[in-house]
Amino acid sequence: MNKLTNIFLLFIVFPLSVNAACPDGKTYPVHFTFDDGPHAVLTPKVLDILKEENVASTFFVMGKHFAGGKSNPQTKTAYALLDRMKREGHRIGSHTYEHLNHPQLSSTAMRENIMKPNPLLKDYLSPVLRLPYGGGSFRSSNPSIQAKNDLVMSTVKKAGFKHVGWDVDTNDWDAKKRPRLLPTMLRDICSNKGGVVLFHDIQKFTVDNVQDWIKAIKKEGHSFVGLERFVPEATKPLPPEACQTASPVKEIKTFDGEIYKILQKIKN
Amino acid sequence: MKKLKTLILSTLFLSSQVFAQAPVFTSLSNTGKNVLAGVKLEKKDHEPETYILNISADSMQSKKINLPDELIHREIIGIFPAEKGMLLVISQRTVEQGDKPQFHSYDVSTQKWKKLAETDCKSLSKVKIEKASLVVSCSETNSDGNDVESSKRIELTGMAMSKLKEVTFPIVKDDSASLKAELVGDAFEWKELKVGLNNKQKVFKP
Repeated sequence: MNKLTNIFLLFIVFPLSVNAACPDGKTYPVHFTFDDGPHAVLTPKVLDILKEENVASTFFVMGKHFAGGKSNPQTKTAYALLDRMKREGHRIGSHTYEHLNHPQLSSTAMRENIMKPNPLLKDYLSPVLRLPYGGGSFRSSNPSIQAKNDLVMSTVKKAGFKHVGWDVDTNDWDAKKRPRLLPTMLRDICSNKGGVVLFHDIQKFTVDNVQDWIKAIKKEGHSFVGLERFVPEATKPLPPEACQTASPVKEIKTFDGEIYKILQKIKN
Repeated sequence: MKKLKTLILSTLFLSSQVFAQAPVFTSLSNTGKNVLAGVKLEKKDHEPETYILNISADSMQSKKINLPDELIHREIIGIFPAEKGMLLVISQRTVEQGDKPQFHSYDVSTQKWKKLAETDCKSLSKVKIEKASLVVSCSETNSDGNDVESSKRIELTGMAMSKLKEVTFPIVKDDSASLKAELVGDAFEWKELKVGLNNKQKVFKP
């Protein structure tokens, strides 16, 4: 029995799989996501690489790139990129209209920034959304911050979206952290047991390196999977409530707000 | 065989510890009398929790400086001493993408915080500390996706900085006469802070 225990322990530490990337001897599913685009020059390069590597990804696009809709000639390239993403098997999610931190906005502005892209992108969007800075999607120990976060998340939910965060934040936007991006990402893939990885397709640095990162992940034995592996709701169509403009959300009552109302009454 | 088993079990225990989300140091400052360090605790699905650790060189004891509500979830990326027991604290929200770094003053004796400024500067690379202003160097992404360096001046109303110098981020080591301070560990995930005064040395954890 003692011998059996020893053999068992040895297998845990030195597993059979030679490709095992992680200290636990396992390999994991990974999904790449790209925020802030599409970028007229850089996003096509990302799409070329993803096609070559046969990797399906999700693009969380900013609504402001589609201002005026298809009738605006300046959005032609952006829409053509969405067509290409769809054609090549990628998923498109909303990153809201402008890159703002939603809990810091008034409830009206917050709702508008979440809803505004939807009529412009209704033919392309899966019902998935990522809040800029993740603002509103986290739990806070501070009750007043949590109340604002709850309001943001309830607006996202009422609009019919599933919020998609990330398991691995690559910090590709920060020049100081880039030298350690690959080893940190590989380590975090192991510690999180795979998951959704966050990049930005508006950074030349990311576009210049993403193929090497894909190859490195594949070399470790991990596999690339679709978003639906982590977010089953991603396969559903965009619900009609995403494009509704009525029913404004309830305003948060704050002390500042009350003072403002009193001042308005005095002024009038 | 018993020794081997102990070794294997301890290896398993240690490797599981690697994945625990322990607090890390994010910045360092040495005033000559105190060593200050920004601390961040990240927990999945939670806002990062941050505070400043203040270590007295005389007693080699540490005390926590709690942050106001507006800063509790922002990473402390720089702490610089100013005259009259004031500190200048630079913070940034660093999840998903960096937001505009904010500049706050902190009066150690009254424990009062005041927001002085914020600036468009996603990746702060250097700061030149002048008496009543800072010149920050930023690495920004332009519309072509390329990195471009720019510099911006931040006026510090009501504050006089005490150590005039130019520093490059991240600040991993900050020595001041006989008081020495150094962050130890992987970059941006420093797990230890070594503080040395004359022949004494103590290692702090966040």
